[in-house]
Amino acid sequence: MLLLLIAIGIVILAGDRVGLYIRDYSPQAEGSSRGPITLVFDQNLDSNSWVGQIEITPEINGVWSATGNRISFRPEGAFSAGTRYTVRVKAGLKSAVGRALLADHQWDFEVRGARVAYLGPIDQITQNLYLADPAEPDSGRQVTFSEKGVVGYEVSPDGGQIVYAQLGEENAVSLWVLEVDSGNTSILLDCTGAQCANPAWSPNGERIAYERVELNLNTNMTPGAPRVWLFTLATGENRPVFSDNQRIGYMPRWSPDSKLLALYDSSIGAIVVRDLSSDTERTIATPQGEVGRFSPDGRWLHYPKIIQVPGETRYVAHYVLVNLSGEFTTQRDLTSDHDPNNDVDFAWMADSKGVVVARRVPPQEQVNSVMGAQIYQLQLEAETAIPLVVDPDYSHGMLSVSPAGDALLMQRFALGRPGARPEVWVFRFSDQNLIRIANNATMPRWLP
Amino acid sequence: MDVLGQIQIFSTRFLGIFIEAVSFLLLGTLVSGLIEVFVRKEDVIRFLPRRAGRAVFAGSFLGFLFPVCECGVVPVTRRLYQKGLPVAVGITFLLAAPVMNPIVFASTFSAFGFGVVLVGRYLITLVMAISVGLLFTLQRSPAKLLSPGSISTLARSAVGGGGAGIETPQRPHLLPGLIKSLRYAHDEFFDMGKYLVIGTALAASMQTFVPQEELRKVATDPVLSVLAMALLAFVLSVCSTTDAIIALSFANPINGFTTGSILVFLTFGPMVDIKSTLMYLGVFRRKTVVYMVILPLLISILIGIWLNLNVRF
Repeated sequence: MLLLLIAIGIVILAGDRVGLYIRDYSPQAEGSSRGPITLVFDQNLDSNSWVGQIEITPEINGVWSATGNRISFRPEGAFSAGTRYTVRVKAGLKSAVGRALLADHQWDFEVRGARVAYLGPIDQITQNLYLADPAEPDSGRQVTFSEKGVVGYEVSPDGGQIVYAQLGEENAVSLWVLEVDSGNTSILLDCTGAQCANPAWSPNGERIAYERVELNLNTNMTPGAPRVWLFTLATGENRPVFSDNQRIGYMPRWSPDSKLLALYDSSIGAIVVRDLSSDTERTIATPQGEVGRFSPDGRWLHYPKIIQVPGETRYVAHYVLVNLSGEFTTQRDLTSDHDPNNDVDFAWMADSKGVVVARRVPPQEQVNSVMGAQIYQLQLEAETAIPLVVDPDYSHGMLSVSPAGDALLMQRFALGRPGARPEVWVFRFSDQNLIRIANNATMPRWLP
Repeated sequence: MDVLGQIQIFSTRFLGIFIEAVSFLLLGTLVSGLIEVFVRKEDVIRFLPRRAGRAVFAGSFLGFLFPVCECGVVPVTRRLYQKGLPVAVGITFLLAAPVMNPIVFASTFSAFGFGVVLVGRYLITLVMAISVGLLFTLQRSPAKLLSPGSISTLARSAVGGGGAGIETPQRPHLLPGLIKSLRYAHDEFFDMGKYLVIGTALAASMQTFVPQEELRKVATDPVLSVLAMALLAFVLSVCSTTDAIIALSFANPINGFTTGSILVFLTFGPMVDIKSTLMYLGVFRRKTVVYMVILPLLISILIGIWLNLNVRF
């Protein structure tokens, strides 16, 4: 027995030769411009020892966070496409029980260029998802093969997956997931007897908010009103955002930090911004029934308002910016109420200091009778609109700025051209170049 | 929590452990009865290797012939002693059989799959049981190891049949033999059952009144997790046929217990826990039981800590 006790003592004194170790890390060879960089350890981490122990070269600003045995980094903007980044984790990083990482761990990855997803063909009864590389125009390849069609989708924050709403039997719509690299699809949420659509993926990748409409198939009643539900990917928990089932909601939008969920609550006629961590909410009264997007820095949320042009019978849409950074919300107009332009679409620039709008100028300024919405850039602190894409032969919409902030994705429609179909285009800010990605396509989104 | 609430929890846990264990005790006593009637001393002697070391090694695999857990193995061992099984081999069988049997293999496989836990459980159990068994071969006098009660039945058995120079009885016919074996099983069941009841009451008390959540705080510590799981294994007194499922709940990959400590739970627990220790006292001398508890404990702790500090799983 004494020998055994001595042996135990020797083993303990010989020290820890395993320590804390990295069980998994990503991205490994190629990564998304949005990140995140994730490290998974075999044990929960000491809450302070990891600070300053991880380096990224070339340097990039971003937010580090650690929970349990996981550390992740999200860049403030985006990783630079085509750049090779090196991540070094220094030895000495400790677990909650004091076991240390015994050796440096280093790896590198290259950031792939953003790709584009869209739905097509628009002239068919059913649409499916396609992916294309902006560097290779008209290179779109079909990635879903649904017989009844895909009716909406959202790309995961790291671009690795796409959640899409697929039409099924008896008009039910269920949520499916496409693994982008492998092309594998699987059902995420079976919504038999309901329509689960308009998914919105939280920026931290953990949850999906979506609209759910009960079809009331066995009650001879019409379909119900939409409610917003939350699906947690790790646990499979699926619940309505509001515990009160009388509250109707749609068009969910996440704040960049994933803490706030904005949606339109038609039962009170307002946008509700709900803090999911504290279950508190703020309301923004608007009769328009539409929720815009949070700015990339999370400070602003926009929504449209309809006003009558002073001295005219014409009505136009303008955008309102809601400042959510303080304890109380404040609002300001993007353009003055005297502005006769009609803004029909909106996208935030990556720096949150400017926006891009699709704007229909007043009839007296139009160069032809069918002139559609054109694209202008505005700075929040200046009312001057800089024309970016003005082509009277086209109407523009469905705008979104690339993760790196260097390009604008849009849908264009050729006006006055017989047989024209919606097209997906990319506009590069640097050289003002316009590239057509796909014809006969709609709902374009960036795939980081 | 109020006293009534704690008593209710205690009685639930008592019944939980007892109902699970008593069925295996019943099975063990039935096997014991069958051995008493149908196995002759020379069968055991013929089966076992002559050399002590080899006999101990063979004893560690006897569980595949008599698949019983730690509750059932004690009466079987006692009966095998009466049939001439060497004490050290019996101790090896006693320690190994709760793991070294097909039922436990299946339950461990279903919980952890084929991998380090399954292989580790069997290898470590073999090492522990054989080491302890070999140590007991150094003591050649059964009287110094077995309790006085066991010695007297051993003596009666030797006089009654199978002893050296005494005519070996014929095997009985099947039906009368079965009836006779049931009678033996009945006596054995109530004899061992009292230890089971006391052991179960102790285990249920420990589960109810000792806060186990505190132990979870050291789950990822390479040393303390091993000690905690050894303590848990002793206190919980879970049957070896189901302990793999419980171990799985401790082994979640994020903040679960270390692999070394899980292996300690799965190897030390089936050999020694509160109720089995009480049952050992019905067969062995107190000093023998102390060795049978301390030696597996130290060996399993040594192996568990060494694994945690030196092997990356």
